[in-house]
Amino acid sequence: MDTILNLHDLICKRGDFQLGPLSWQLPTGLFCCVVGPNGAGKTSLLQALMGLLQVRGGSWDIEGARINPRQGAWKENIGYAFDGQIHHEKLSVADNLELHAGLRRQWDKELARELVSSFHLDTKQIVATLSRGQRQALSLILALAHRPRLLLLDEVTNGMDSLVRKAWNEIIFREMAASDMSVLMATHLMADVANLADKLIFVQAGRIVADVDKDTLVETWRQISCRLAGTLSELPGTKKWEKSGDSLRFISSRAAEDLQTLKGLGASHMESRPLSLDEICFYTLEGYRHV
Amino acid sequence: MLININDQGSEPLYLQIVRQVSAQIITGSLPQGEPLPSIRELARREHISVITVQKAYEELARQNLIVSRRSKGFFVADLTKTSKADLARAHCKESLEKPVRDSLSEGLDLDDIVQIVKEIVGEAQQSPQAKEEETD
Repeated sequence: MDTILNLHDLICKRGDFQLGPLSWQLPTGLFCCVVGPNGAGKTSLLQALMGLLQVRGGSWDIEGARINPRQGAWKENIGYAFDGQIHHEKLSVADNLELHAGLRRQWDKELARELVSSFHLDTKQIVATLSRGQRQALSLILALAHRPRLLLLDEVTNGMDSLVRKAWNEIIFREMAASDMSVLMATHLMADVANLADKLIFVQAGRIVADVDKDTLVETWRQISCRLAGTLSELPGTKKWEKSGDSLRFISSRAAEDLQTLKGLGASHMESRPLSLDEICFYTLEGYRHV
Repeated sequence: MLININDQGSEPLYLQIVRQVSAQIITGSLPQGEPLPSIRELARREHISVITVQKAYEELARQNLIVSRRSKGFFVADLTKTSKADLARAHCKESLEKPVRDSLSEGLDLDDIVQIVKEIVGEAQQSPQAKEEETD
């Protein structure tokens, strides 16, 4: 796989908050969710990648080209939407689209029209009177209609009803299939992660503390139960270890290995159940709380 | 090509795809030359990562069950009967491992288990005919 984004020991500052140093790569064509507690640096990471934060060290590449934050041409390849923020509140949807079309050399009017109709927006409506979900939809259209190579999104599905969310899921799939676009999206909503993500990064205290494929994450975190005679001391990396008679139950962060270990010890009636993404994110971040 | 991804069990998702697709190839419901859905399409349909589907398709290609044609996607490969039988045996062993181990720990022995397998085979060989008679 090619690499859309490559961070080399990137350090950025926003006031007293330090982001990084970050060394990380995003393969081209993937949807990556950024998860982490409030204040961990999710928004700062996205802003840094738009060149909005002061760079204190390191650098980053987009599709192999070193970025110079002071020269704006590279931003043509990026789209961004931040939690329904629209610059021109008092103007209509159509006027906002027109203004963006003027700013973006590669603006695709036909695509913008299509997206407006997929999201059922009324182009004559004034932005200030839009609902939360409609604002999110408009900010996504403004981020997408120049067909960026990399889309940066911050909490853009907040306030979307299920219809808008469905339209959004379909649009993002279509655009990613059409152009191999890559997406980096900060979110607290595990439904987004479940529906859209190929991979996740966990951010804690300004650092990327883990980078995993979504399905690998779901497969490796399991609640395992079995019947096993004799005593067994707690396996490393497990949680909520419970033993009663020959029944054993625990939460594993590496299910395949632990199941193999139990099989080797002669365990029977092994069952494993998946954890919710919420639980998995909680346990994963718990491990990095003191970073 | 329809597959059913089950995230409740312990079988890795990519292996579920490998097992189900290869079963469909062995039984002939996916005939030789049939195109497979694109990686992104299958990922979206099953709400799984493109990384997982890619891994599954790579494994199916490694087992010579599917072939990739540059920029056209993946297609069902040509399989001989022997390799189909080998694959079916491997599937059978995989599926039986857990119930057999559980049964041994519940006190059954080889003869008991063989007897039960015979009963299951007997029932399976009868049932399709019985169904045909009903519909006649």
